[in-house]
Amino acid sequence: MRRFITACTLGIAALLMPTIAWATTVSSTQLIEDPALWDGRTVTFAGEAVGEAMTRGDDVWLHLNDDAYVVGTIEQGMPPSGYNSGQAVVATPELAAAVTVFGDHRHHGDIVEVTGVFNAACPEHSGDMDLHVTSLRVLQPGTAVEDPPDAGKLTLLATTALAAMVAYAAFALRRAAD
Amino acid sequence: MLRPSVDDHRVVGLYTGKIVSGVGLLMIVPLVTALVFREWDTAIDFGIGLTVCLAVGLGLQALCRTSDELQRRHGLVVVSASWILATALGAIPLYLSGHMGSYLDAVFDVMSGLTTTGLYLMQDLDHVSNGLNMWRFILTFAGGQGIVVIALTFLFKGVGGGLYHLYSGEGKEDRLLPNVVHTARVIWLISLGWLAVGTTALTIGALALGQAPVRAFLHSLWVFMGAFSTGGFAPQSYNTFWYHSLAFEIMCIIIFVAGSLNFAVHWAVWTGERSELRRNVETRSFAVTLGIFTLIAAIGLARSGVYTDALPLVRKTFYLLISGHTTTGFGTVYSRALVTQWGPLAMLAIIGTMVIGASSCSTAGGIKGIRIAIITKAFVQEARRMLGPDSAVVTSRYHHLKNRVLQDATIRSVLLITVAFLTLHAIVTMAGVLAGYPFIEAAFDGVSAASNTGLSCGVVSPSMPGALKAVYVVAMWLGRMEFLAVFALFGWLWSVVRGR
Amino acid sequence: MGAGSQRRGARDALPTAEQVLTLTTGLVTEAAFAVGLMAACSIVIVLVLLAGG
Repeated sequence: MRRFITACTLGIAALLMPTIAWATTVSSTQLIEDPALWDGRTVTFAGEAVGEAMTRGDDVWLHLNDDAYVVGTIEQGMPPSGYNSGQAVVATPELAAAVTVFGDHRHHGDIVEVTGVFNAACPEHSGDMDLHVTSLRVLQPGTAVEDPPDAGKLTLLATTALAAMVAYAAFALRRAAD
Repeated sequence: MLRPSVDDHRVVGLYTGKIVSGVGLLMIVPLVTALVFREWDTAIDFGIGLTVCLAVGLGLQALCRTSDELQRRHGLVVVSASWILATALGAIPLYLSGHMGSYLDAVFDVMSGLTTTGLYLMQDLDHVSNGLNMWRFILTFAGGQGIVVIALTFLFKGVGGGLYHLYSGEGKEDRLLPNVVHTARVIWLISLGWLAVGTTALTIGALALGQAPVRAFLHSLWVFMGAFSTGGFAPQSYNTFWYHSLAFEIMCIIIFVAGSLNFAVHWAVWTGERSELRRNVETRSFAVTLGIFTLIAAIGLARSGVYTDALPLVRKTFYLLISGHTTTGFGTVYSRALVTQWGPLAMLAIIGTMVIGASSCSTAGGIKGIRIAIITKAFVQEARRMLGPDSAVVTSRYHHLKNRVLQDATIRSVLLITVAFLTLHAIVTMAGVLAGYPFIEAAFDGVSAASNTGLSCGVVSPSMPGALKAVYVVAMWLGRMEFLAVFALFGWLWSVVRGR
Repeated sequence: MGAGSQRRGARDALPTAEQVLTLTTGLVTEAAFAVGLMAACSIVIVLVLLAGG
C-alpha cells in the first residue's frame, strides 16, 4: 500500500513538475530559434503587450514583445535598436482582462509575464506557434506616450515650404510666359 | 550613341518633374491621416516631405520648359529618373520619424514599398504612428499600379504616342485600351474596385476577430493594399500572423491572387470575357507551377514533421507558397521558422515560386508566367522541329488575350529578360554569401528582393551590412523595372559623357 | 489586347446596370479562381500527407 501511495505521489509530482518546477524563463528569440527544444514545455515569458487583445470565444490572443523596446519606445527617446520580437500567446478572457494598456504609437504597453505551455505548431490553432497561458501577471503597468513636434523640424518645414513656394512661383511664371 | 541635346534633357526633366510632383501629392494622404489622429510630429515629417517633393518637382518643370515631344529614348530615362528621385524623396518622412537606422535604411524601405517587395528595415514597427504606416501602404499600393500610371491618370492630358513609352518603361506592356491614359485609368478602376470590396470584406473579418472598429478598418485597408499590390507590408511586425485566422488568410489569398493577375486579364473578365481566365497562357502557367512547387514544399514539410495534421499542413504550406508565387510576401510563420522549422526543401520550393513570380502587367514581380510559358513552348517546338521531317514548318500557338503564333523575335526577348533575371538572382545570392550568410538563407532573401516578393528568413535586418542593403535596393529596382529602363538610364548617362 | 475589350472601351459615361452586373460577375469569377487554386493545391498537400511524405 505504501508503495502504491509513493508511486501515486511520484506520479502526481511528475505530472505537476513541468508546470511548477520547470517553468524556465525564455526569450522569444530562444523559442523561435529552437522551437523543437521547447515544444510542449512549460515556460515563463515576459514582454510588452502590443496592439490589442483579440477575443474569440474562450480564447484571447495577446502579442507580447520582449525586444529592446520593453524599456521604452522610440518616441520615448529609445534609439532604434532592431526589429520588434515577440511571441503570440493565448489566454482565457479572465486572465487577459488584467492587461489594459497595449503598446502603439501613443502607448507603451503593460509589461506582462505569462507562464504556460509552448507549442511549436499548435494543433488546436491550426499550426500557429503559440503559448497557452496558465498564469499571467502584469509586472509594470503601461503608460501614455507623448510625441511632441520638435522645434528643429518646424524650422526645417518653414525652409522647405519656402522653397516649394519659390518653385511654384517660378513654375507659374514660366507657364504664364509660354 | 548620340549625345543628348539640351532639349532632350529638358524633356526628361519636365516629365520627371511632373511625376515627382505627383509622388509628392501622394503624401497628402499620410499627412491627413496624421492630422486626423493628431500625430503632430508625424504630420510635420510629411509636411517636410511634401514641400521638398513640390520644390523639386515644380522646380524641374520650371527649369525645363520645352515644346519638344516625348520620344521613346526619353521615356525609359524619365521612368528611371523618376523612380530614383521618388525613392530618395519618399524616404524623407521615414527617416525623420526616427524609426530608421540610417537614410539608406529609409531608402531601402521606400524602394521595397514602391517595387511592392515588402522587405523592411523599419525598427519598432509596432509603435509607429498611423500616418507613417499609411505612407508605407500608399507607397506599396501606388508602386503596384506604377507611379507613372498614377501620373498618367491624374497629371497628363492627351493621347501622345510618347506617353506609351513612359507606361511600358515601367514594366507593363499590355495596353488595355488604345489610349494609354485610358489604360492607366482602367488600371486604377480595377484597383479601386478591388480596394472597395476587399477592404470591406477584411474589415468585417477583422471586427469578428476582435479588433476595435478604427483599428479594424485601418488594418484592413493596409492589409488590402499590401495584398493587392502583392507588396507584403503589414501593419504589425508579426505580419499576417497577427490575425490567427483561417478566414482572414483565405481573404488575403483571394486578394493577392487577384493582384497577381494581368490587368488586361482583369479587364477582359470584367467586361464579360470570363473564359480569358481559363484560356490565358499566364494563368495556366501559374496554376501548373503552383501545383508543382506545392507538391515539393508539402513533401519537404511532411518530412520535417512540423505539422502533423492535415489542416495546419495545408494552411501553412499553401499560404506561404502562394504568397511566394504571387510575389506578395505575407507570412503566417515567423521569418526564422523557415530555417528552424521548414528546412531546405520547403525553402527551395518557395525560392522556385519567387523566381517564377506571377503575371506580367500586374503588380507582381519575378520572371513572370508568360515568359515561363513561352520558353516551355519554345522547347517543345524545338523538339518537334528536330523530330519532324526536314521540310516541315513547325509553329506553336498560345493564348494571351488573343490567339498568337510563337515568333522567334518573342522568344529572343523573353530569353533575354529571363537570363537577366537569373543572373540577377545569382549575383544577389553570391552577395549574401559574401556577406557571410549561409547559402540557402542568402538565396532565399536575395531572390525575395530581386523578385519583389518580400518573404525573409532572417537575412534582411537593420544590422545587415550596408553594402548588402544597397545591393538589395538595386536588385529590387532592377527586378521591378525589368532591367530595360535602368539600362536606358545608364546608357543615357554614358552618352552624355562619351556620346558623339 | 482583347478585341472585345477594345470594342467596349472605358467610356467616361456612368455605367449602366448591365455593366455593373458584368463587373461584379467578373470580380466574383476572379475570387472563384483563387479559391479553385486553393482547393486543388489542398488536395495535393493532403495526398502527400497520406502518402507519408
